[in-house]
Amino acid sequence: MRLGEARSWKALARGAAGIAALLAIWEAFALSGLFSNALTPDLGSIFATILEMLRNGSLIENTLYTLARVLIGFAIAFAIAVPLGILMGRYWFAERFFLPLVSALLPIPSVAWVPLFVLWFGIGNLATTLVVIYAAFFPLVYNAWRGVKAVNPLWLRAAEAMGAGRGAMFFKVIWPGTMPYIVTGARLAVGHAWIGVIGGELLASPRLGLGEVIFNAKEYLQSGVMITALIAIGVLGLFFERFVFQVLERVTVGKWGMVAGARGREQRRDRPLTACAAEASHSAKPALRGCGKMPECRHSGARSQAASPESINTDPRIRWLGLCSWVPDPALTGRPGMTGGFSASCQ
Amino acid sequence: MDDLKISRRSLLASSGAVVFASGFLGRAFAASAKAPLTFGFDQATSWGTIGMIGKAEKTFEKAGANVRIHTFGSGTATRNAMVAGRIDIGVLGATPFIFGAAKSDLVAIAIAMYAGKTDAVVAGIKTGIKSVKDLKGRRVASRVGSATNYVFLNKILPAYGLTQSDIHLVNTPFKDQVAALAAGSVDAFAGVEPFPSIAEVDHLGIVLVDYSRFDMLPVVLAARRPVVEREPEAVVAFLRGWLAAVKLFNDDRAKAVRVVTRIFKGQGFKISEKVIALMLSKLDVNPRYVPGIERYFENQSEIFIKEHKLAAMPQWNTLINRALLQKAMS
Repeated sequence: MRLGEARSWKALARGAAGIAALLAIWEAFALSGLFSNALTPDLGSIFATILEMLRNGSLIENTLYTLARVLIGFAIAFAIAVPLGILMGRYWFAERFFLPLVSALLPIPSVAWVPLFVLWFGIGNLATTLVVIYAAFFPLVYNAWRGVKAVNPLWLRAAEAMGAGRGAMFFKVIWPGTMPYIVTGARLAVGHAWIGVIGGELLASPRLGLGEVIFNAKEYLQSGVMITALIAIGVLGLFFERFVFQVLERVTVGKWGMVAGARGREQRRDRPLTACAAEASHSAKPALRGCGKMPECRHSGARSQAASPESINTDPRIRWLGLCSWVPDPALTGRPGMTGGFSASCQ
Repeated sequence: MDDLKISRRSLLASSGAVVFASGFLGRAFAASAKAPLTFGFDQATSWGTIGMIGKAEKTFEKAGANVRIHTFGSGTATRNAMVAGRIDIGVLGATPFIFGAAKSDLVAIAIAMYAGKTDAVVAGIKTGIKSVKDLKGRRVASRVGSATNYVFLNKILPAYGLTQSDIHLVNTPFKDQVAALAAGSVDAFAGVEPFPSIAEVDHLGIVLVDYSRFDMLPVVLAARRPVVEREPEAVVAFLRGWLAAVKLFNDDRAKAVRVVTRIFKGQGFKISEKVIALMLSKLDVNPRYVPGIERYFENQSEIFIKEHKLAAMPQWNTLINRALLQKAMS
């Protein structure tokens, strides 16, 4: 067995052990008699309920309705919030105009809007989806804004020095630099969207949805049904984390070397210098150590379009690494948007 | 001092053990101490009338009962608190009671009232709905899990050739139904007094039909079985206080109206004594079980079994306690 496989099996076993421990604690709690069995059903009853709800299709149907509301709401929120956040981060007038609004609305829980949304838009899907949009909007806008603000000015200056145009500046420097924040914002936004959708489904009463299932089951003391719906939400959350966000992180910021801990087997043969700088800019020692040890940081010929000889030599965080030097590179001269032909040689 | 060092692991383990042990000990102490009976009822509707009078006129204390009173927003909320062991005696509609008895340890100790006349289906005045038949395809507010909802879905709609799938049912607490109707969020509601009267008086809705033609709607005074078995005398004292409140309701209606109006106004309702008087006139307050009450619960349970909401038929002959009421009345 290869080392990587052994590690992944170990990680799986650890995760399974955590779940098994939780189930064992629940079973002991359910059988202890501390609470009525109607409130704390044992694992057998819960499993039977899951099977029954899968068999009659109600679990799938309600899950799909809720998932659709989450995805639609999240997509709309993303489409509005991320450009707005970037605008706020890039232009002071946009920041001054929108920031007070964002700061005032941010602390208001999305569920608190539901009664008003119901009065304005009536019960059903529209009010519920609007709650999801509201819930997902603020983590996205806030993180996009902070992400742009956190882009290392060194990179911006370096790109400017090399004559990067607006497009290159945005797509080669700002967008990759902001991406870790946007991914984090998206993670938080999905979590908030779930909170919003369940609250919305309770109060705005659409026909179907996991929130409806939970609250209707409460009226009939169907704790097994309630727990089944909660498990469905948890499974979806796990799915999103493992198969959406981790993959997204791996193929974007991980691949670009923007996060120290991103897992990616394809980790960066041609790791751009910005990766070292990004990790260095966090000033966290483990990140710096990690960067220092990365062979791809050291191999000769690693190229950057967002650094300059001055920055390498003057930035103490990069100097601290003691890895890179700056050499003329004829291959870069004459490229569109490039005024100088230099490569960072990181030995 | 080095000997006194406690490792983090042992500190966590010992504090966990203390919390776990204190949970058991706390429950044991609570069980052994002579705690007051806890009594809960829905203060937002007419079904809590006798509880309101008992609380305001202190009839429980006068009857020698040691009672702590809690109010809730619905019968299902009261039932849930009873199932969780936080409330000993509660006023419940038949449907919440059936689920509490079938899935937990609730028993009936008396009938709080028969409330068929207090429930009604109300349509918005601008909706053009003139009959229950017209509800097809409309949004109807109802409190899921309540007896009001059960009778609406299983007796009233079928009587007009409709089923649940013909309407869009909106789970709405009783106290929010008039606001939902006024806002146009729903086209009609199946509710309990005083809300149908409020809708009519405020010219927001018209009563399509009341429930008295379809169901007697018994409202149950339920108790947790362990309390009934452990403290029968305390439950009898409570029932004496309850009966005193019933007597006041029947003998001095003007006072009852004043008490209930004050309580509703205290909750923020804009409601007149006239509406409350009308509401109270619809209550049939009689603590005795009508003959065949077991059959009534059985019929409802059969439907819930068919809907897979109940697993099996409860033994209704063991879940209706008549002895305590008889003793309290003697």
